[in-house]
Amino acid sequence: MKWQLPPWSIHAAFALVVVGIAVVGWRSAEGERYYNQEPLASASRGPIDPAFCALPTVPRPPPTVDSPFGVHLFATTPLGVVRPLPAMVIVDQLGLPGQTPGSPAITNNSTAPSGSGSTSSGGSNAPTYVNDSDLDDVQSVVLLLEEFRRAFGAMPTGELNDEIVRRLQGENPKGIAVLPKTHPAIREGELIDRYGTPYRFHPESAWATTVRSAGPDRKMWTADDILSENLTAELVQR
Amino acid sequence: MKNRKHQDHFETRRNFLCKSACASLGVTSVVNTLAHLQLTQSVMAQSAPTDYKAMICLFLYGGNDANNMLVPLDGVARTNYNTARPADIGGGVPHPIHLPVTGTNAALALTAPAGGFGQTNATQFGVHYNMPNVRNLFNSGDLSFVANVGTLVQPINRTQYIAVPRTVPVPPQLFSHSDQQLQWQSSLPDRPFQTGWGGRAADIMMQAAVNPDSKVSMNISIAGQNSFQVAGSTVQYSVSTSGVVALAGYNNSSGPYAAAATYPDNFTLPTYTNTDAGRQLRALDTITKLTRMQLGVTDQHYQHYLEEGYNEIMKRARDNESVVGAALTPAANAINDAFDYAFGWAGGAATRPTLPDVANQLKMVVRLMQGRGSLGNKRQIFFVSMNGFDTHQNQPTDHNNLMGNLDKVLKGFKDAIDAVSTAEGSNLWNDTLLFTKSDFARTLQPNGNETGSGTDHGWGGHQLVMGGPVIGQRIYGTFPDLARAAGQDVDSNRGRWIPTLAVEQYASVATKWFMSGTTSYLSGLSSTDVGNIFPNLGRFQTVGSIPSNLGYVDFNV
Repeated sequence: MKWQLPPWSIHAAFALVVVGIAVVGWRSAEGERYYNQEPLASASRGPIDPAFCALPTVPRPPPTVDSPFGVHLFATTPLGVVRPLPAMVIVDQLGLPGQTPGSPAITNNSTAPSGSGSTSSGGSNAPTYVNDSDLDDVQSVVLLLEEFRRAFGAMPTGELNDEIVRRLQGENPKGIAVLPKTHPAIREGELIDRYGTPYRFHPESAWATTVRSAGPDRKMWTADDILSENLTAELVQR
Repeated sequence: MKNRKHQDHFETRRNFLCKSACASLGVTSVVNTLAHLQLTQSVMAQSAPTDYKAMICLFLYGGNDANNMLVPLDGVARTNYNTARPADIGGGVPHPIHLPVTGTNAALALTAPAGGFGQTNATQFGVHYNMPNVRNLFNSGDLSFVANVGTLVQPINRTQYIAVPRTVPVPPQLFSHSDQQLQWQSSLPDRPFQTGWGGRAADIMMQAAVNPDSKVSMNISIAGQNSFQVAGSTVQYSVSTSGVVALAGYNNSSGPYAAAATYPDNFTLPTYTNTDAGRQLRALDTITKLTRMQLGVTDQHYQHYLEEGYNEIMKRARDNESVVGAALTPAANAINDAFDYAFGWAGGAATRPTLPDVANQLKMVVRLMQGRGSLGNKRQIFFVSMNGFDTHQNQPTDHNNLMGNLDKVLKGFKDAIDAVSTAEGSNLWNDTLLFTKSDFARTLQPNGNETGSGTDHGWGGHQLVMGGPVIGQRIYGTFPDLARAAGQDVDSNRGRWIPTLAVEQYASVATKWFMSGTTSYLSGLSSTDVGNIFPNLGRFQTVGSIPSNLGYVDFNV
């Protein structure tokens, strides 16, 4: 004799399914509240990059393949190593006190590879030249910030020169560095312009930071100050 | 035969799944309907409030140097103030932004309430010397300060801030203007922006039928679009300082279609006048509908949501023009006079002063409050703003002027409300709560000693609250000791205070007053709704209570 389910069991199973679906429907019909009130438990509900709100952590050790300067030009993230940044070229182009505009760039980094007169950066043998003008310097600093933003996702947090420099040197949650620890353009922890005055940074938003040089008179907030132009919009459009 | 058998009893797996799915869909829709009916019933059962309350957010864009708005006059805080902003930078010359305790440009001392200010880092306080009216409002019990408020993700102290690695998160992009403005207005620094807390409050209160007779949005901005009033469903309505932003040609005072139709409210179709202009307007409206409407359905359906949204905006603009225009009909002479007097008008035939934009914004707020009967809202949120606080340079001049204008505009606002109250025989001041916000405070240590120097971006700062329900003459929160590279300072030597009160703590007090009748929540509202408006509030305090040092509102007023 062939075994057969009793008719009532099919109806019971159907009823159970319907009741289950009804319960799910009822729960969903209550409407979602704005946000979960559980402290911190709701963090998983939004696409929050912990890099934005967390920590500066100790910069991660550089990967084995680093720049010839011993400079941490790569970012080691949980997702792996981010592409190398052309930051050293930008940094070396910054004018320094006593330097002739357009002259071959130099670096005081003792580990720099020896070149034929001019010192190149980033492991490339192509010569690097000092920017022609102080406006170019300011724009180079903006480019440096842009490099950081593209790798990190936002401008460095902070406003003070030494604070920004530390962020650019890798003191940030992702350990991204676009500035070497030592460089002629960094004095007492601050990035200086070609007249020897520290730059000023003005964080407008996560996407834009204005850079100001005090200019030849070395006095901030005077008529010869050099103010950066925002490159973000142009870069985003590219 | 087998198939037929299964057709009769539908117990094949395929049939079972198909029919179960259909049944579940049917059941779900029924359950959804029941749930929404339940919501509708609960809303219908609620009763609207009988009292009126207005909450005004005054945003000081750029980052107000609160260190020179509220100044310690003694104690360790004063010592540290003098160290950062010295009384002598050489030759007996004080720093340009130094506010002395006595003498020229001295801070105006505030009268302590009985029992003192209750602060540990100073026992006497003063306000900027250009703020005599604020001093008077403080002393008369109409105004208070809330010390060291700022954006926070979690409570954090200096040790935790400078720890490497830092385990307590901080708001993203600290010291950045737009990010901090957004976080102040959303009160959710650790989440992508979706709504402002003013918008969330409006949504929840509209859902609770707090404004059943509403004819215009509960959220009105006189300062253009802002993040504070961005809501899920409540529309942010902008009014200019001169009144309704009218559609060109439809203005009631001029234009070819002036008075060509009347608009009873948001829900009734307009009545066109029997004139050429009326007929033309009706024809124009018809053409507008026909060109956008999905023909053959109804005039409420459009081919595209964007088209429908556009049409809705056009309709709402015209409807609101009429409603708000009616609210602005009452005479505004007394209101104008109050502001003009505050800015130095001598009265009579004397030339009236040119008012700053913020004064005109608050004047419009008072006019809308005066015409609140036409707007039909029992609870109204206004947003106004004042610019220019990013004083990196020329602070001695610029910030002094800003403090002076802020002082006068608050005086004008109070007097204008009083003038309306006198005319009405009401006490509108008791229904009014104004509070300030700003991106951040500024570094205690200036960025130079020259007169052209200023201060840079900070974090926590002092805010002021004003209104009839405010328990005035107090300094709420914890006034910092102003020590640099110690105490509440971050990891620098500039004096950027780690907030001791979060934005949501500060804002939730005003919101609880706004959501309540006297000492209880309005029907349909509860502390759960406060938690929904401020989802992070529970990280700092019990959502349903108010910390003892933050109770700046008297709920019995």
